[in-house]
Amino acid sequence: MRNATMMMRWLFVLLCLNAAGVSHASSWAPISPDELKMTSEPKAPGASAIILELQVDRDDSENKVAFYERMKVLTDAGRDRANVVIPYDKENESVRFIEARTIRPDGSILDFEGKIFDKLIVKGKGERYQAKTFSLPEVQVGSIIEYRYHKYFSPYWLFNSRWVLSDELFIKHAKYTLVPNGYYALRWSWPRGLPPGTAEPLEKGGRIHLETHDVPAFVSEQNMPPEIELKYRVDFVYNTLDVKETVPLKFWQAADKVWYKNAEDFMDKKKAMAKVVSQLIQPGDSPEQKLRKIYAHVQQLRNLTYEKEKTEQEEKRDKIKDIDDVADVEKYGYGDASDLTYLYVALARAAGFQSDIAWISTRDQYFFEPDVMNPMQLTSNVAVVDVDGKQIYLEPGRPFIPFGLLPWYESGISGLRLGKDGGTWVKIPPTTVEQARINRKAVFKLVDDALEGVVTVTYTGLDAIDQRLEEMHDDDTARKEYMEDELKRVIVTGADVTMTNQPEWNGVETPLVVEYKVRVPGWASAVGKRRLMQIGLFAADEKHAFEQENRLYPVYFHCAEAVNDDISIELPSGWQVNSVPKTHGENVAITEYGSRVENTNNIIHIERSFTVNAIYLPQKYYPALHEFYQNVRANDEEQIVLSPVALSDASANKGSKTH
Amino acid sequence: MRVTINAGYAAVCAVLASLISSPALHAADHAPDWMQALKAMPVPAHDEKADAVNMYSDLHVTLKADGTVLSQERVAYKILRPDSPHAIVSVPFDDRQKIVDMRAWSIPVQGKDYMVKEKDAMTIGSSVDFALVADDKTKRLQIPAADPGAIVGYEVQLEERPYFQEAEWTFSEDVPVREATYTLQLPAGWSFKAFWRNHAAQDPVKIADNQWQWSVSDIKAVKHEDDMPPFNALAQQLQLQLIPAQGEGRVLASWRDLGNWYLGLTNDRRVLTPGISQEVTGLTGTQTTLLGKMQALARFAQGDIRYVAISLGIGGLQPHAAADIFANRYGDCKDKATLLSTMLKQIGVDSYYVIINAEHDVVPADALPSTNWFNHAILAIQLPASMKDVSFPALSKHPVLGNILYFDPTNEFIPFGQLPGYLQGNHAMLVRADGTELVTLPVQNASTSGRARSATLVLNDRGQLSGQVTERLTGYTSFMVRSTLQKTTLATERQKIIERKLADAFSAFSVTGFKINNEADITQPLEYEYSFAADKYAKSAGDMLIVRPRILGSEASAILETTDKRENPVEYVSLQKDTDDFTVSLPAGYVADDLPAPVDADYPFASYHSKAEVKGNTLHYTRTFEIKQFMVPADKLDDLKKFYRAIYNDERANAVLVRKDH
Repeated sequence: MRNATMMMRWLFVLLCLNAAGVSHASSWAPISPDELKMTSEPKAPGASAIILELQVDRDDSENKVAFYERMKVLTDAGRDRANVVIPYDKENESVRFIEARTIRPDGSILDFEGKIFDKLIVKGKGERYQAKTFSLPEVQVGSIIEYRYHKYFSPYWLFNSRWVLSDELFIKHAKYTLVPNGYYALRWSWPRGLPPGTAEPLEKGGRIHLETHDVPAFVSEQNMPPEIELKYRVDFVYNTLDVKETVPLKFWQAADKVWYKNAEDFMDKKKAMAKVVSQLIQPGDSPEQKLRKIYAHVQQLRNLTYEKEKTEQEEKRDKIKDIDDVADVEKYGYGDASDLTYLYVALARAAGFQSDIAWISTRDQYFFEPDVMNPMQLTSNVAVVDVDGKQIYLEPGRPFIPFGLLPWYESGISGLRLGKDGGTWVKIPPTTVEQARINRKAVFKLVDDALEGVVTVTYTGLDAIDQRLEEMHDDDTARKEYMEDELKRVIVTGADVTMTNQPEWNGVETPLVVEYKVRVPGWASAVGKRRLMQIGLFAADEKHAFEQENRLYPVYFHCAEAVNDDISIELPSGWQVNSVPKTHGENVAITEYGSRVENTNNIIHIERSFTVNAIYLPQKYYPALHEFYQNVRANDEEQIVLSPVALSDASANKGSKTH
Repeated sequence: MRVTINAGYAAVCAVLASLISSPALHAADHAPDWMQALKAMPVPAHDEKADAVNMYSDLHVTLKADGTVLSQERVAYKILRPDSPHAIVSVPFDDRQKIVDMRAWSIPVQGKDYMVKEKDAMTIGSSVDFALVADDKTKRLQIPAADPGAIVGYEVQLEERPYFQEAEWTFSEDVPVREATYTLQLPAGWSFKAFWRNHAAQDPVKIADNQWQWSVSDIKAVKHEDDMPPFNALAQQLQLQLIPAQGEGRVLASWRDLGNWYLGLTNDRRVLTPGISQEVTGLTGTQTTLLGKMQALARFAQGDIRYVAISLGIGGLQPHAAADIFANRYGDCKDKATLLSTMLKQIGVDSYYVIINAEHDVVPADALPSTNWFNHAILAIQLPASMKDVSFPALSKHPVLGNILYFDPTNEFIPFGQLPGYLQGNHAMLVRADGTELVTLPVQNASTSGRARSATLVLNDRGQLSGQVTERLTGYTSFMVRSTLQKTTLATERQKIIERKLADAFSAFSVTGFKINNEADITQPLEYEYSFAADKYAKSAGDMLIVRPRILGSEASAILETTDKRENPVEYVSLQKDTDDFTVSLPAGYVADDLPAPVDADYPFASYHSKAEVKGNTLHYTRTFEIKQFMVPADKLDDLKKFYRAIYNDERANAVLVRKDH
């Protein structure tokens, strides 16, 4: 399964890296005086290089793509663009007619006549990836470099492609064309819009055209949506389903008919399912009890999707049988994640529930757009069950997911609930703050300048799932090291951290509770007769969050989440609290923060809460978010002031409360 | 620079010695007897983090009279933890090496054995990031069922045609090795000279005519730890110089022999062409001094020749011709040295190849001659007698050549006259026609590298701190920052660098000005000038204002704040000296009630001094941080931990200000 995914990624990378261009026999376009004398691009200040011209001509009727690129080198770092690497899949592709040249800053031209190397990237059973590589000579700041090539695909090899208009370099001008393969109908769309001033793709003479200019360089930012969602692009989708509809609503209804039949065929084992259900549930069980029992049964079956990757030899010996229907899943005791979800729906139906499969698109790689009408984007399934007039969504095909909860990437999305009348689009709600929570409780004593004590971290819901999935194939030593690193990561300074318990790694409905022995040396800093302690101990996650003043893209969190800290620090005898910071509360848009410090009987109690309430924040709200995080950091750095107890007032301090 | 018979790990149990020479007769997937016997063997001592232990290792090397070398290696591990990397057999090879046979087995905890062969392996090409083109490849074979408790092992036969005959045996690994054996078979009349690294010398057992065997046992793992010396500096190793019979093979008995061989590779590479000559004239025409001319040529080799490595065949050792390097305007380290040497010659300056390792401590002072030690090439420039009074940090006095200046044209940002930290103090091969030798490169004073930061700031009574900071970066520090700046492709990304720096220091801030000076002029310190306003810098606590005098920048490290016992020394890439000098005008009416105590921490390897004082209405904070040694030995790590804690405490220390009228 993982191998297949890797292969798809390879193909995708190769697709993105390549496209088509001008005929190899054509002459080079003339260099303009403006291009020669250019020393910078005002629309891309500081750029190391920019793309002056890009042309991609793809012909799916002849299985080829031609690529041409002209770049201007503006700084020393930009000279690296002279190293050209064209990867390709040698089993299915060939790269030919590579031509390149350097245009010196004075306008003189140096055609590339050096050697083009064919470098092995990786070779294994039935696959071989190579790269054509070469380095253009005499490339200096001010040079223009350009190259072009053709890539040919195996006959009968047709796949969806896209024009990704955004690049890591600023693009001054680009042209794209595509000749569709005539066998399948082709749809195209630009779900994120087009660069300003760019006309929509135009079909003319059997070829789709697009011309664009001044496309900003793409940069990465903290907590951003999937990159592809932020890049200007045109998606092309061949209709490989036997569905002729071109209106989205009708298209998905037609697709549903195909998928619904397949699903029903796979689940059509009523007798076998009834027998299983009869052994799982009792007549007096409530609807939820029944569904939970079925859920627990399915989830404990062997889940092939989440097993460790096996070698070819191990797989042979494993003798996994083909799964033809849900009865096979039950009989063999295994299936992949999708098979298990089908089984759950079939068993739920056998228990008398209205239940269906919903096909969904996870939001970790891209955001699904029904209007694009790309059935390949619906990659996962969940079970939908109607209970008391409500729909509940279940994911028995993934380990550690409690009943009623979905992984973050399967929540807050739309899905197609299959049905005999064309299916219905359902909205799966996003998870809530209550469903992803981290509580940290620390009980410390102040010993000299160090905090010493125990910390208990409780991960609930999605946070527990994340940790359990991360460590599901590791041993106790690795898990201990991982969890210790997790705590060290959030402590704002170096600390000795030792995990002391054996957390319930295989739990599903239970939180993951981790206990530590912790020592934080130097936490109280000495200033003359006083000692000062910062209140934000577990505050490292916020230290550098959204520190940049400006931002280009929206902010994206995986899920709503709450983190609460409860810290007590017992002071040594002979010390008293002079002052503690005020209670703070901050909130903006989708985030909240609060802190409160109390001193009772020389035990300082610090409460700190941090909440993200939603997953998406448009860019226009970023300044407020930036300021919010600045305030959070400032609050976390507030100091508790301690001083020695004077003999005369030692007793007076007992029982005092300072806010 | 990699030419070797084989570098491998070998181990064998004496009890099994008789099995080693037995022909391998295996039925179906059944693991061979030498592996089966290991099931009953005790596991060597290891810590809980060891993913495997080496149970059996044996390397046979046979040098044939025609110069061909055959190596047969058998290695077995007991797997202790999931996902052990030791369940993957990785065999590097190039165009002069042929994998004759490769097979591996697994004895799982339950079930039948597995066997995999070369046909099951993946072949991985060298990374484009390392060399645009190279013929180095790696064959990787995943051993099945390598779960904890399984025994996995492999046999590899390799045939190679080395450029010359030498051998090395590295028997340390990142896991414990129970026992390892190395057997050497030489042609009649040949002999050897042995050099042991990090292990007591021991004589071999002669087991047949011209066949010798060495065995070691209970070899401790070289664990990976942050900021540790290179593995090759810590690993236990046997190096063998092979001495041919009279009239056979190439004699590499001395550094001179090795140098002569290298000169043979390079003697036609530094030929001046009209194009190069014209370029030299153009570059030096406006320079009035010889030093100026040398600097101009050095800058050309550093900056105008892009680093591009194309290493095919002998090209891994032999530079391209100067004419080609010049025409392409690119090359690797030895190419850049070659072109610069050619250009220097035209202005009457002689220079010499210096073959070196770009990591500290890899090459010992008493190393036997071998190219295996090295991975980099620079130049030694012989300064003419007319320049006898010049002074450079990278200058060295040579008994024959007089003043020689070491220079690395591959590093784009270390100016002429200096060396990057990673080369300083290293042993290197100075190649000369009349006497190649192993030399030691100079170590520059710590003050040649570092950061001098000064700030003039104002604190208001609302706790806002604002003002201007200047940082002057020199030596290795400036190289690191210039490299980072070079990688940023947009102006907005540069702004992020300064914001990141300020976010380390302040919770809430805005950058009000930012300028970088001398970025392109590497002969000058790199300068950052920036101004900022940081709200809530001073915290109110009752009637007090709490202010951290160490405004920004950090020298502390948490590297030793761990419950795991550190085993390896800590190594620094460069010596350095950093200084801070901050002046803060305090808000009217406030006086210091408490100030952090000064810190004076002096150790042989490093020092730290800081002081905060208030004079009138001004808080003044100064500090110096100096790394004085490249390496802190393992027995001094407690001192290093104390040192860093003292810095940490100082960096977090606050001053308490109160209003005068309180």
